[in-house]
Amino acid sequence: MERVGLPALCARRRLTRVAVARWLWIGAAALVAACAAEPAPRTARLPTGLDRPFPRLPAPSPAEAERVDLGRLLFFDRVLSGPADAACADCHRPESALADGEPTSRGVHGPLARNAPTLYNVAFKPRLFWDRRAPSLEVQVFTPLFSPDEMAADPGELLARLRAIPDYVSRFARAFPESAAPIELANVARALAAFERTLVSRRSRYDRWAAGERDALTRQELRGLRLFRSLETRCFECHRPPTFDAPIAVGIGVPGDDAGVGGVTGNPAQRGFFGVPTLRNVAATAPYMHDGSIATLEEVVDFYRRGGGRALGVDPSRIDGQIRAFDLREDEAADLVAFLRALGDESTRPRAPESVPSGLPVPSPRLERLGEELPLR
Amino acid sequence: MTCFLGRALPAVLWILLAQPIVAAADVIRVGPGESIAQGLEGAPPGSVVEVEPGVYHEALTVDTPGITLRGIVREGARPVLDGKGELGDGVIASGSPFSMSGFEIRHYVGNGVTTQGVDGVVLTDLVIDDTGLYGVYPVQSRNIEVTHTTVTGIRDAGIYVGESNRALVAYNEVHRNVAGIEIENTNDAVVRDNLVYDNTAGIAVFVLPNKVQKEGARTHVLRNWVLRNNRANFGDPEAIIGQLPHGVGIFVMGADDTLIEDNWVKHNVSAGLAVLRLAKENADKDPELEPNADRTRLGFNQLVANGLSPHPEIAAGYGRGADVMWDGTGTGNCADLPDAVTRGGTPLARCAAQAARPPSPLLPPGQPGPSATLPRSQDFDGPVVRIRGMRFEPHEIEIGAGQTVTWINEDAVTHTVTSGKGTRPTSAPLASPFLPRGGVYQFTFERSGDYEYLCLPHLDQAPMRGARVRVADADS
Repeated sequence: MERVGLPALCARRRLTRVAVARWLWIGAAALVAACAAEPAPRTARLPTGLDRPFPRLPAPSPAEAERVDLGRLLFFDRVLSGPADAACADCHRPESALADGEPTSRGVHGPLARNAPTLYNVAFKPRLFWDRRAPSLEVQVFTPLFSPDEMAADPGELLARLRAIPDYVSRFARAFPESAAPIELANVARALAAFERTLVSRRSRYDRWAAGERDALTRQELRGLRLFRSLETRCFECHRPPTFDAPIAVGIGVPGDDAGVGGVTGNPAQRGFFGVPTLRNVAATAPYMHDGSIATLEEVVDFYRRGGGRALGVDPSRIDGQIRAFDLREDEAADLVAFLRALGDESTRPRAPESVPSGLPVPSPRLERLGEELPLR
Repeated sequence: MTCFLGRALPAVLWILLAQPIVAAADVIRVGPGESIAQGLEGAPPGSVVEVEPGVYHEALTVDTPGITLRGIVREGARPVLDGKGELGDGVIASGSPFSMSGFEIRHYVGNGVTTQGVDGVVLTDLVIDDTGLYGVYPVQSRNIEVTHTTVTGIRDAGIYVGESNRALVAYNEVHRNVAGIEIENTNDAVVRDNLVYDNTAGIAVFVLPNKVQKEGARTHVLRNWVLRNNRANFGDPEAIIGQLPHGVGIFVMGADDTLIEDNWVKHNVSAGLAVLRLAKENADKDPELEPNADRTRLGFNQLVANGLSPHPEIAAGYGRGADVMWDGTGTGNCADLPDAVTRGGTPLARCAAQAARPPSPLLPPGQPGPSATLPRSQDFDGPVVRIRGMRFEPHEIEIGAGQTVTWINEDAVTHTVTSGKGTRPTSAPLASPFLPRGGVYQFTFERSGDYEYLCLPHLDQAPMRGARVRVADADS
């Protein structure tokens, strides 16, 4: 198992080539120079084939930094909701990996129909919502904002409120210098989307391993990664590296009446189909599935092991052909879960601002669960 | 000039001289009693791992780029990867490129060799038997060669190329599988000079729903021997593969621009060549997938005594078995066939000397048009709603079911076309992206009803909400 380093090869080749012809002196000189410029022999840092590029993001606007700052304030500002009591951050909580830890989020009139998805890496998703109905982040924003069950904003009222807050007036003007009347709904959406595009998660231990840091994953996690890519589990077919999702709608057979994508397209053949959620930060976003009906990752693995909804009496025509029961020992299931836990990276977790331009209390979920309202930090 | 040479020459020489260094691969040798996985571990990019004949009970993962896994074949003996019916996959590779040759691979539960997202796959001189779902499975990969490989006893497809681009599948012997060779949602594959016999079906070029890569086009199937693929289907009866009727030599299902020529197709009891659309129950699951086989060209093939004892499903669907079957769907399908050939289903038209390709659509839905010159209403079939002066013009329209409405944003500001009642957006079924000036959005209304919509960024302004498309019943 002899392994020859690059400088040694350079030196050896120089001797033979130099003897051949005079003009090769130049080449040899160049080679020596190149050898000298070459860093010291290989280290253990060799990128793997899984070191793959993420989808490209749209080019930032000239005022991107201002938009992101503004978007962050709007994200945490309850002035956006009709009753001024709910911000985006109330259901996409920084300390819950930008999900909310509930099976389904709580709306104005009680629980909503679906589980709040994490916002990490929404930048890479071409369509948003479990049922994939929104074609961009900008478009997505409007639904929770104006839904009477969620933030229940009134558009005219919302703009009037924002225009009455001097800090927002100047911030919108800076973020949208090209707009004559910068406080408009499209710009609210653009600012929130700009902020959401900063919530990128791609520095997990898995990514470090993929980039060549061989000790970044444990033996057990590597066994889990292999199971993830096996033709038994077939996890990788839909949860594709590097985003660990796919821009498609599939049925896995979670029991229930939610029509999912079929409810949007009106296509009965897509009833119960949903978009593929990312597995980035998945360990921190329990509970799982569109309805939050599965509490732990171990139970999710078990769900798939038994063939998804096939084991639960769901009509097989609603379940993707690649979802099949498979054999998985207990230790293998543990390996797979260990790998999923290695997909965590919240290095871009947003900090809640100390105050927001409206002066309303900034979401502080843990305290509010106790029904208290305390000043922040 | 001199100056240029002076600067460029060292660089050029460096590139030339650097080549052998890059090619000077580390060679790692593994013999019986040793572990191939251990040999692979820490092997630098570009390494060759040579494996002596012997039996290795291992599951291999290759994530390092440029690995060659070379089985040494000596006096007919070759290294065997044996899963003993316990291990899942023989080899999973993600490093680009990846080569493997000289191995026998047997008794795996999941799959023989899979490459996932690899650019540059060379699999040659492999002998694969009983490895679960697939023998060889390059998926989401590109620039693939699978050659001189024997695959048997597979309960799905012997050689399965899925969601890939540019593949050569040649000189393989594939028999006793459910499907011999499958090219799925893959573009630009060449399947040639293979011996494909005694499978349930021989060669399939097709598309499946709910994949990321939505099309499969330009596969060239030539000079294959496709003989008596009549084996009773032993695939998973709940999977699509398990529903495949036996006795079909080569079929195209939903893939486009397939060229099939110079094949020798004999004694397949249901059909020699078949061209059909993806079954409705599967096609319906993915509206983004175009389910017809279009512009298939059946060139000169030797078709002998196919369709003589068709599977009941084929007999029921087409009235008979035949050398050539077409279900009558798709556009531009044609055949150059001798008169002696039997035909089932709809007869295919004779191919024109040069089959014409249809022009690409003028403007795909949702794509912004050029902003300097706005798209004109007359460029589109069907009704057009212009968004200008901060209003939808007309605010309400009536159309028939099945008609396509086109919206054009003529304003300088961004608009959307979004389903919603009053000021409340529902985003279904109308859900345009942000439309800049010149942006176009199209939607086809299949069902009758009253479709109210609004513009998201301007739903605070009355003229930009409460707009309507009234769709009358098709028969009224």
